[in-house]
Amino acid sequence: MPLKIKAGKLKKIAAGAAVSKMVKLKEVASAKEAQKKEILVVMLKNVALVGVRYKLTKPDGTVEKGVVDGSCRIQALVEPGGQSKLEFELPLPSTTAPATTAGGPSSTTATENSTQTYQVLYNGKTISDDNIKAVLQKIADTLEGDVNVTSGDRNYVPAGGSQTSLHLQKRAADLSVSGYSLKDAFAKLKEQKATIFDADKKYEVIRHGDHTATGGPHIHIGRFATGTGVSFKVEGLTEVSKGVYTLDN
Amino acid sequence: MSLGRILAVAVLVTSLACSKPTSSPAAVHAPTSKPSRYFPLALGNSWTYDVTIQTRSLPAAIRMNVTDVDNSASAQGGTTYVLSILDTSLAPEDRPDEPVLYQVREGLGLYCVKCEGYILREPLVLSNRWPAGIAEGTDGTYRITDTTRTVRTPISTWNGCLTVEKTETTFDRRILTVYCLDVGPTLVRYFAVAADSPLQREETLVRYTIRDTVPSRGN
Repeated sequence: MPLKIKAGKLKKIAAGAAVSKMVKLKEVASAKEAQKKEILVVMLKNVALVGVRYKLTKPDGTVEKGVVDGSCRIQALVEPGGQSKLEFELPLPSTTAPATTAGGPSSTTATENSTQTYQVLYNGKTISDDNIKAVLQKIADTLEGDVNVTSGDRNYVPAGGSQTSLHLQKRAADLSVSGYSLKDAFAKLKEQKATIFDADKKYEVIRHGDHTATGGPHIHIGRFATGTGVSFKVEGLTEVSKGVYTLDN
Repeated sequence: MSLGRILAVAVLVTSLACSKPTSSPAAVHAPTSKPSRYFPLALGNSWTYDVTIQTRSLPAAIRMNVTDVDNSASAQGGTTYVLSILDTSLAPEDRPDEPVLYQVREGLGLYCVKCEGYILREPLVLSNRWPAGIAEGTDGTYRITDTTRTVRTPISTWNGCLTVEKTETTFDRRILTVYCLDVGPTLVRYFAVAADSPLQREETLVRYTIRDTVPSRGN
């Protein structure tokens, strides 16, 4: 039996933290509920943002203020569509960084705003090659996750050890990417290789799996002195492939 | 090891040793000028070595396999082979975490892509000398010190083998590698650079499989 409603507006009762509001009857079908978004803020040009006050101006002009919490996250309601503006109140005027955040379709974690910068954590390791360092930063930026370096330049060759390593030539790094499994990070590197790697240089990217014959699972990136292209390889993904390198392009 | 197995090994060694005539001791040229015959690279080829280290008695082995072909690394032509080397004498954290890439360059030799230098360089004649590669330091040098070497290992005796000496002053080590025709490296010995320094480490071929060039003779 059809239902008849005689009214111009209806009250939309939102659940949770969303605000209840009146909507026009003809808009009922297209009315979408604002979703709570979580904006991850890590660092801004080497400035830790924990405890920093922020101001979020939403597409409809409303302003929400708060403080970046200890987990570097901001909880905010963002309407689908339109642009939001996120500002931080830093002690130095020159470091105030306005930025916009897109109010896209509903999602529980927003990583699309440009205020987030990602860094390469060298963890005391030295990498001499400027190109490898640039590649690591591009990985952090492209994958939107901090790059954790676990090995860089090496100058020690154990008895019997090979001298063919690109680590010895100071053109290699071992790494993982925060927020990614090694498998997913490796897949992303392949997918984004045109963005991350220089077209006029040659690289080798190796995913060492759980059964690796080396010190532990990691991703290795090395740069050759000559040549072009990126060669992807895997090792130790299974017990059978322990110590066995094969192409995975 | 059982007596029967010892006898079987002894018979095998004797029969293989007798099947190979010794080449002329006066020769300065290797029996062939093709370096790829002294290190036959083909997908599936493998070599296993027993490792003896003077400072410790733990048994160790090196397994070297040609596990792939990477033609993207062949900037100057020739096939590039991916060699996976697993050295159990090294702690996992000390093992290289990348393969070795050797490229066959016709008329030139076997080129180590990451070293940026040849490991075997034509002509294969006594005293031929070449730089070890830009990446290995300008003081690194290879030199052919013997073209008639006879090598005995637990599995066979080979004649007419090439001995190549590599000197790495940066790492204070001298490495003697003996390459045998259609087999590959059969014996590798490490010393300090000083001429009278004692043997530090020895790698002896105990099993191998060669495809394409000759039928497999491995166990």
